[in-house]
Amino acid sequence: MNAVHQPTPRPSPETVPFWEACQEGRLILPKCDDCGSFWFPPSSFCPECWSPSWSWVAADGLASLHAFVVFRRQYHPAFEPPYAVGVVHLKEGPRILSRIVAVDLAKLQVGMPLKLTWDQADEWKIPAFQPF
Amino acid sequence: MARQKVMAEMSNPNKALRGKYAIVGVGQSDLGQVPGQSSLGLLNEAMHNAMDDAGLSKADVNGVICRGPDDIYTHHQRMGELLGLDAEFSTTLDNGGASQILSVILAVMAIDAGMCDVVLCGYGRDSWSRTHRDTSTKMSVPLVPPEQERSEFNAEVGMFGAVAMHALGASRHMALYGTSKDDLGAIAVAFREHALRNPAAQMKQPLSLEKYHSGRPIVDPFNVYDCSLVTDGAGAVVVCSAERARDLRQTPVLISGFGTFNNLRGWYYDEHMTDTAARRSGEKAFAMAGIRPEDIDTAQLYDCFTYMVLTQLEDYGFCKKGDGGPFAASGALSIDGALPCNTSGGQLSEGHVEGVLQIIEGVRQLRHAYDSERQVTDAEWALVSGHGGNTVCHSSLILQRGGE
Repeated sequence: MNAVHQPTPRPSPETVPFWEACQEGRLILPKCDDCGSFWFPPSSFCPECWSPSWSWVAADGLASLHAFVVFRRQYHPAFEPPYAVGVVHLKEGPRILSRIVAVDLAKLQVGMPLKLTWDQADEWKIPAFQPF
Repeated sequence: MARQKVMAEMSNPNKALRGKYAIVGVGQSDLGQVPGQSSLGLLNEAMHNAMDDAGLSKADVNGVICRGPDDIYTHHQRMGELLGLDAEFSTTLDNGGASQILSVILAVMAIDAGMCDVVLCGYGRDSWSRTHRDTSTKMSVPLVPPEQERSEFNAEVGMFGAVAMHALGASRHMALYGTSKDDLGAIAVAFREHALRNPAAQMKQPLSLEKYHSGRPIVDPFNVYDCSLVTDGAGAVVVCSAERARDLRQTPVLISGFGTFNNLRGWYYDEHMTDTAARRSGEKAFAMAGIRPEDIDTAQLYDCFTYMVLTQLEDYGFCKKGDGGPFAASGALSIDGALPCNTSGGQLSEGHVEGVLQIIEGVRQLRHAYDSERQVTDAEWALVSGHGGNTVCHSSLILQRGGE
């Protein structure tokens, strides 16, 4: 029987720097040099003003919970239910899908504050969020 | 710089097209567990039935628009081969559950542009046979081919399937507006009651609110009764000019309004989870048809999950934003309610064929095809909706009963 592996990202050329920073424990986001917008997922042009000038900027790691679900059925052998996945509204503006790490899933609430943590999947560090 | 900071003023479909084209034939295959037929075979059967219904023959058709199941590419080519047809206009659409209404809209556009005259539209799937027929198939055959899945920002955080994606929206709506599981349950219960009047429907057992609450949990806040069915089945419709429709077999059902909107920035962006693309799609359709939500006699809404019905009731303007729960719980959606909705049982209880059955049911209601227990009394106007691509794309269709 093979060991059960959690799915790992297959980065695109535009997202390689994001994942490399994750492996160093840093969450970075693209920020437009012209209009100041942050966005996600990473891409070559600012989706707000279409500027090609932008920079990677470290995120604070603070967020709020926009919406969440709790998996009760097992969809993948590496993810044992129950567990929570949420849309996390980063302080900088973008929203990302994330594992929500919580001792008591019944206490999760839309709007609650979250902070960055990390989930380990094989050799990958995956950003995750937890209430605090 | 700042090329597209604000959205341009909305365009509306051309009112000159109002009622100029009609749905003249509808047909479906067997629904449910239909072993021994491929999705293409099921659709072939549905298309033959739709043509028979219209009283048209192969030589009359010169347009084909399909939406393939997720595992078949260039679907319209495969169907043309089976039907033995070359076509002046044909294509396959990729807007998920918004595709079936979009195929009707595109048929109108193509005919009006002089590209063809009679268009056969349809969709078939073999989802039960292909992915759900037994436990080993469920575990070994992916619903969607792996190359079509997102390669990052999805599975590595434990996100799988359409249930969870839509459940996110329900969780936010519940938090913002106090929507309850009782509200979602009222939708499942109403549609099941309709399915019990429909001999073709997959679900044959009554569903009480109490039984709804005891449903097997899938992804909170959804249990199994919040989720649409896994179906083998197909449906097809025939579109041509209203002028030609007058000489055909059936009472014409006029295409009076349509609209599309696509929240391409995604489900997580802005308030897209609770203010869906149905709103602007619907505004366009109502503007084209020249009527208002209160004029609609029956709504056939895309019900992949209970919550999507609830938000569409608000987004289409049948009630205020946030009031979809109490509206559904009031009994408004039942066949004798204020807004008879999904009168065939819908995708929650009749069968999930990505919205094509909703068009067919709208047409049959306007033909007054049913006996009294299934018929919406004196139905003249129907709204049909479709949405897909995991909640991004939306299309709306307003149908009117044509003159005798």
